[in-house]
Amino acid sequence: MIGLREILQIVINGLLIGGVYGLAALGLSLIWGVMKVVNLAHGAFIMLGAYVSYWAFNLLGLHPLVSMALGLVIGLGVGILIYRSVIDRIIASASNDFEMEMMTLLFTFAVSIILYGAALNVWGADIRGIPIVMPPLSVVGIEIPTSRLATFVVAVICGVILQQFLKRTYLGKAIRAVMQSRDVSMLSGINPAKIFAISFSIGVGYAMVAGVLISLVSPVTPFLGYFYLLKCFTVVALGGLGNPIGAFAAGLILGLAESATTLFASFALSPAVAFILLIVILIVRPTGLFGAVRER
Amino acid sequence: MRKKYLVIMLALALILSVLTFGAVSPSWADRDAIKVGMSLSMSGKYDVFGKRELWGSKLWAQWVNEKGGIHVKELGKKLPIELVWYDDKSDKGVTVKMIERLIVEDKVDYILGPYGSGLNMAAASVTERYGKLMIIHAGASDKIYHRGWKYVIGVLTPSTRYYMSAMEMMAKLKPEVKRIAIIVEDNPFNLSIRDGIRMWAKVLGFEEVFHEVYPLHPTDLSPILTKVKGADQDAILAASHFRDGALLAKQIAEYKVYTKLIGFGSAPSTTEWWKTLGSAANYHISTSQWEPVDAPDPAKFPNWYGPKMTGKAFNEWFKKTWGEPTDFRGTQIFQAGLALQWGIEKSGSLDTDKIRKALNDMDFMSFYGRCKIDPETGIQVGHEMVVPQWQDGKLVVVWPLSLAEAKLVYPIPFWE
Repeated sequence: MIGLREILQIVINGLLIGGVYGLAALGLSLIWGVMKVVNLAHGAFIMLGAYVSYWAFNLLGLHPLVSMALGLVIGLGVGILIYRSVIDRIIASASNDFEMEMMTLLFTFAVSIILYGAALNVWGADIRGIPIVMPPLSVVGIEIPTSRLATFVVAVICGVILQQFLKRTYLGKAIRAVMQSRDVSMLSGINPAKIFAISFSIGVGYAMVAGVLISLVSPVTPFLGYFYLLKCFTVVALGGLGNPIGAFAAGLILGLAESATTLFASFALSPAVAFILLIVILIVRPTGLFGAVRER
Repeated sequence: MRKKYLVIMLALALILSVLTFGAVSPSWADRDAIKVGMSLSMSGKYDVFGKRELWGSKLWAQWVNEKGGIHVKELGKKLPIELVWYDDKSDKGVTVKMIERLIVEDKVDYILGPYGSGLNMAAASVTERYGKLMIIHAGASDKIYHRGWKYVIGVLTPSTRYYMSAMEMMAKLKPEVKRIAIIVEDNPFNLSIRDGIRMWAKVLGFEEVFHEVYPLHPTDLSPILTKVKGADQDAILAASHFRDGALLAKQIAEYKVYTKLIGFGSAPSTTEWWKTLGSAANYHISTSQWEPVDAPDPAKFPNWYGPKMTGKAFNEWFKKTWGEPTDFRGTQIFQAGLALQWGIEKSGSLDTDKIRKALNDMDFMSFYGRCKIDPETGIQVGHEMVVPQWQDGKLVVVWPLSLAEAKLVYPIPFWE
């Protein structure tokens, strides 16, 4: 029934969607890793990115691969705004880590409700889409959809840029220092508040970029973010916190697992397979596949 | 001992109060209007539909009232329609509250149901409790009608009959359609459409060569397409909602899955389908409750009821009144109004039981199509779906032939 070609096709399908998952989860992983803030509004930012792309296409005629830059800029701006206006104050006024984590969790949850509600009211529940269908590339009988391939390539580039930024630049090293220990980084003259602001806005910027790319492969609705937020959490838990390569690899694993479900069971079971994978990883390696064991 | 006595008395009081409350029949004689209650989704995920439904129902009430109202034989006079409605926010909990409020506070006589099977199911649990007649115009799940509810009837084609017309059409095609592939979203409504496809496939002699269910809110459907590509099929019949259907359609084009005929349930019946997919939507067929075609001809039907006009004329009337054209939603609620009107006129009464009984014999035609229910369940058995197809940016009806605007493009030209 299923030959080598089908298996290869399924692997490619899985990798292509996995790249999208990886990119979507990068921002969440960064914010979580650096600030210990679980950004529940992450899905809403992905949704906003998709709408940025939709409107840029319809009003300005911009291809999503171009409006990505627009998404990134808007995301960075929105991130700074939200951080400076509220999260900064929560972190400053919280008397301990637990309080800070709970307050920011509630706050980002509120932000997500506001954004979803606003999107529903402003744009309505209509499902929209960018009607670009590019012909697939055919390689030895395997179809590679061009738009998904483009998304995948961009996702890889974004992941590599973030990884190199964290590894090589002074700012990136400062972010990693804060991730490891806030107190010790302060002794080295790093201002954690500034690092938090930068990390948060990069996180939101990446979420919006992911949203822009997702609009290329999937219809756009105000509920779009919900579908991806769950995947993002799975990916972050799999890949470990604050590790772009880890998040990306975990995205690929999730994509492959979902895709491979069709080989031995109904595709309807693919979400279950993803969660079983998550549970197994959490039992075997609670820090995630690529996360370092950290002191608390 | 005393405590037990108290509990029994309290329980008795409770039962009595419920019984008498339910039994209080409104006095009809001094009525000056028939109050019809509606719970409409004016906000939330169904907000787009709520507005059209409000306009459709207002058009019906206006049409009735311009003629002086509905003649009620028992009272010997005509009574106008008074619509009372609330926004249910597309939410089950709010729907239940609003239906209760309509019945208890506003004391409406009948209910026109909310949008979608889920909300209708919730609403029916309330209307049944109060013994109120609810006419469903936008809840197609067969399940609603198989719960033994007495006062629920539907005017729209139920989900198991969604593909019936399309499959009757398929049975007559040359080259023959023999093998069908079914792709369905894992939700009760679409699964019941799937059950319908299987049922008609047996009746009409199609062979099911592929069947796959995909999860709710999918982000990628390529694994299914890889499999269906290997299946030797003549037609792909999908049961999907709009978002997942559009994703499926987009990926079918991206993966160049070829088939001779392809349907996506009701999703393609809106202009958004073409806007979302562009030319990738070409030749998609849909299963639609109604399309604004210049048919059927009122003069040809002795059992015609309601405004003597075709679907196209109704759409123009709607557009002239409200500034926007309608889709099946604004029409269905008009049909629900007509069914209620038919029941009141034929029974000559405002009594719910008498109307419900009269509705068992209902069989009329209108610009929305035929209306006839199964007496036992209240499910619609007369109305048939129409099959439109996207042809170069235009959605044209291709089946049934009596309503057809164009010929079906079949088999789909292979794209390169």
